[in-house]
Amino acid sequence: MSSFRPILLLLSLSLLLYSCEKVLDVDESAIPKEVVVNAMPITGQQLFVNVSYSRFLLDPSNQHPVPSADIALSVNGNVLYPHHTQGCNYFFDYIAQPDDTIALSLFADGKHITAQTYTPRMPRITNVSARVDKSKTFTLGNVYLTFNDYPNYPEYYHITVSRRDSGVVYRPSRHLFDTVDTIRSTYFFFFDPKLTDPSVLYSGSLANMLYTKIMALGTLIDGQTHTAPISILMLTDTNEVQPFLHRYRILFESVTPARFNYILFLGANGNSSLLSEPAQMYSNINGGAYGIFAGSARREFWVDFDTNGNGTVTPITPPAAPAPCRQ
Amino acid sequence: MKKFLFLFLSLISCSFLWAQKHTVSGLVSDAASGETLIGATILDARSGKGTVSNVNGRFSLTLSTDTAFLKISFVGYESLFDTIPLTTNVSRKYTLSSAVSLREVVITADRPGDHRSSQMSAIQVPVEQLKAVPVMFGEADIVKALQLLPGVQSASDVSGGMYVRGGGPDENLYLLDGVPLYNVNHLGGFFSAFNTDAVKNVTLYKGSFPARFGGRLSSILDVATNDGNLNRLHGNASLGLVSAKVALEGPIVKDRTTFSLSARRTYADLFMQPIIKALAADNDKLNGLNAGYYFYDINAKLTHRFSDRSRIFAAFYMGSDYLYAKVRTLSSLGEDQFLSFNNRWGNILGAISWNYLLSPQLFMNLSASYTQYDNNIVASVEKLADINGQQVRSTMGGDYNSGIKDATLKLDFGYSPNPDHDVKFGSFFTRHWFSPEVATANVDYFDQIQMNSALKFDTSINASMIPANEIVLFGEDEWAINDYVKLNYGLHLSGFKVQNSFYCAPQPRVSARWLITDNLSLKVGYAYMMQYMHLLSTTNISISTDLWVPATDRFKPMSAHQVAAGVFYGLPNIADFSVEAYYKRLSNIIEYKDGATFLGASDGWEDLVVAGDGYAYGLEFLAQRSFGKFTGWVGYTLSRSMHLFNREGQQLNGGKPFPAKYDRRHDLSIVLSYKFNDNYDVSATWVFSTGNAATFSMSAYSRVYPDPDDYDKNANRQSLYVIEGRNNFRMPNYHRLDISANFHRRFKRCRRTINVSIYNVYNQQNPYMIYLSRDYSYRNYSSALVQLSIFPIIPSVSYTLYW
Repeated sequence: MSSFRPILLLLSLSLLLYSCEKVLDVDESAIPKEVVVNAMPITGQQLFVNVSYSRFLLDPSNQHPVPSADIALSVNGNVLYPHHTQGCNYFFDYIAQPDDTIALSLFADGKHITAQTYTPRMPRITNVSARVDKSKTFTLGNVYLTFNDYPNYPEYYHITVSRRDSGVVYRPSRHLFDTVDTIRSTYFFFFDPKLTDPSVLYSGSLANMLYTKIMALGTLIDGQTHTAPISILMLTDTNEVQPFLHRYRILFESVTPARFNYILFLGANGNSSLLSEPAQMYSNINGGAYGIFAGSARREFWVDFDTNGNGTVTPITPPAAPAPCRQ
Repeated sequence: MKKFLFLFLSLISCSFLWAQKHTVSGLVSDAASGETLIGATILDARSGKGTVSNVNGRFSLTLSTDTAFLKISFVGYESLFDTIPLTTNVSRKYTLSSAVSLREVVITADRPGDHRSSQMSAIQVPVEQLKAVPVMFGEADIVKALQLLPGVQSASDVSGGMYVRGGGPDENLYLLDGVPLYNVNHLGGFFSAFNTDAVKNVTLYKGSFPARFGGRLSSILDVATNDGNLNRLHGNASLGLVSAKVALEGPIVKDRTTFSLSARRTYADLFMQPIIKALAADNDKLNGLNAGYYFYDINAKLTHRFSDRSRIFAAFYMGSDYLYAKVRTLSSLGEDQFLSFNNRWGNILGAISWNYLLSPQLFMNLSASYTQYDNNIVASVEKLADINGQQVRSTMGGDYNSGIKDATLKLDFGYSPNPDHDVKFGSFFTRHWFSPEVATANVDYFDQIQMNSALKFDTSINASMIPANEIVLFGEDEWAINDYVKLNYGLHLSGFKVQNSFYCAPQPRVSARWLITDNLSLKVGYAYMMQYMHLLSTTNISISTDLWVPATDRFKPMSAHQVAAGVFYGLPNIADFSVEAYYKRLSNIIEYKDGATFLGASDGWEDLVVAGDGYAYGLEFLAQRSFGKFTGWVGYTLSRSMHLFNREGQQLNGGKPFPAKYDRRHDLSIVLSYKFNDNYDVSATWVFSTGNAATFSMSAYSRVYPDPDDYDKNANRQSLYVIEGRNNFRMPNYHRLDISANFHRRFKRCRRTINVSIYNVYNQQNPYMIYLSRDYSYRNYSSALVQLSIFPIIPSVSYTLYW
């Protein structure tokens, strides 16, 4: 009997450790395919609208076209039809202007799908400068954005800092300002240039939370002209690292409220894990479809930090002509 | 508030106009152990007046007759009869003997004769009876047994939390010897923190709350521990598949001082070590893996009787879970890297209480207590690199703590001025210390190019502790208006000071019984409850990382109005039946925002949550037989629980109502036991419930980033799930059959019980969670939707020796 003891013990422990996983058999045909509209009219750029079907969760294909889509845009009351299509994209022969009011009308699957947005004015940045600041603990690459006067209506901004390195693009998880009126803080983005894929180590990790919190600054802005720093933590001293490691791309967008909510949704979705609340999708499309139809105006810059601690800012997109104030 | 106070005091004063006669007071205890019995019925057969013994086993019954014909009864014990000439006040000590048929009895909801009480929605559970319910791994569990009753639901196989009448797991107040216990889950809810060896009595209130209770919206679970055997040293030891227990109790000073001590520990971690090492040896990624889990808990109680009128006890509880893992891996640069993770969570509780009989009608209890719950997570990464023959070391770590501490001083009284009134009143003050999230970070990063320490710091984040003060006044009266109508009315008045806010709420409670016939009664009840703390928990899984947070300046206390009505019918010698209906409206409940989690968040918890409202309603049916060889019950709940978060800037689900994650339409439990003889008994349970609500999607779409010069290629490939609503998805229905058999044998100086049980007899794969897995393929797809089930069929055996 005693010789069976180890076997009994192993059996018992196996049961303890055993958890059952089974692949679910899903009736794909019962999962409805819905029309999805994706469009972000960008001030100064050609309009196009992406229309596709949603797909089964396991389907890896990118997009399924909607063959019967009949689409038109109304820009400030003038109706436009697509002059050509490419896959799921419908292109319109029109360059979006600041403060355009754009309405979507789409007939597909027997539904009349509508949405509306406007194109924001260009972000009110009057100056961009950069330099390396050293403290006792950190070496920071600071990009200083100077704004002119406040708009007289709520304006939403979105800042993305990214860096191309060995094909890896870093997307900070937090980079949102609520509105110009309530700019409270700026956020640091933590990059370790030595790692080829730092997201493995830091993305969504406890370390990420700790660093972000440590380095958040409370910068209150209450003047007609103000400066907001975007600070980038550099673990490696600038004297020792190849210059390309310190080239960053800053995208500064002025977005509509709908797009701002969409960005919040993307942020929530990006944080998804077993320990988080799943993010409910954000949509501003009416008529039985979903997706996003919301405008943006953007300015982009290259920022290079040199070995002397100086920063050079190079605009990527020339600033558009100032727009009249939106009433 | 003044109106409430005036009404309450008027009722109290008017009701004492009857002339006082003679009082029979005393104590009811177990004949074998001397342990006091809570909830024993003392009934005068002639007048029909009666009372029940309180949490200290004491009772007081004032009668206007010249002779008392008392029947003293308690579930599972032989009744006692006593005839007392009443020429003066009389004190009595009654000792009841355990009935031969004790093990035939199972959980008793609304004990026999309780259709005569005005209290409804209450369940009293003699702990011995819990052991008749089939159990997993041979470990009887109070919370698991209560989950089989109507109106009480479990979240999953591994959830020890209770969901009572549509309320969340944080809306239950767990009292151990009158002191709150904040986390009752071991192993994520696999076991509860209550060791049945230490527990004497369990009462669950799920509605019509007496005014002496407060602080939670949905239920009060009042657990009393053993005082200790007054007559002899007694103990038991138990060995199961995953845990071992030992309990010892007995007298220290004869008839004066007793002790009770019990301890429990799981030992699976010890057995698992060789297996883990064997697994790790075959896997490069798990090189040097050392991991394990265990929990333990200790209950201790010391009771001293100064006299028949005066008694003091000190109670202590400590329980902790510990999860640890350490592994050696290679970093992306090929450096040696050691990852370690430790998570420890648990409670410590202590109480000292003095009970004193001021007069035959007036009883006093003075107590001081302390309780704390802590959760600590420590994670670290250590990297070693060999640079030009020199070994350099970089470390990065974090320490995350959350917890709550309470210190309470309480004074309460019981007063029975005449046969028609039983008054309880008192007050307590609690100082809370909330530490929702305290994190520290330490980094010592070595720069391999410069060969120096490039970054070094050790700092605290969110190290804020939130103190709060809570004061409570309460008073209640059980008033027998006539032979048919009985009323329990009271007021629970509480104030909570936190940050710059002071929240105060009079919470009226009332319940009434109308005895239509000797066996049929109708009851109604109303309770307003206020809760000054929230438990932040994520939707997907219940783990130790749930955070206790207080109401703050920004988030007001939760509150609930609950009305209930029920019909109670006892069919003599066959079974008891009850039907209860309830409606509950909740305010200021909080939930995490979309995408929010306690971990990886740079914001304080207040930025991660929103406040809203909710409502729940349902019908509960119970048919039970609690005598004879064949016992058991059938409980069924039809219910709905919805949340509505539509406040400005605090919307969830687009401001539309959505099901709470514990919303269940149907919940059915069948519990049957049969006793063949004194040596053998068997039991079985079958449960069925509607599947859990979860947020999930079966379809997706691609995010399109329509920038012709798009440098962010990852964004273009990002898939977004079509999640149209919170908790929009229903898991498959849950059902399970468990059976068990007990084999008892009595020896000359001891007895033993062997319990053999099978959990999930037909191996139903009930869903714990559904997720997208790339480790599996499905049809032509390289990934699959996978259902994870936790527990398959699990046979187990345990051996318990009593001496």
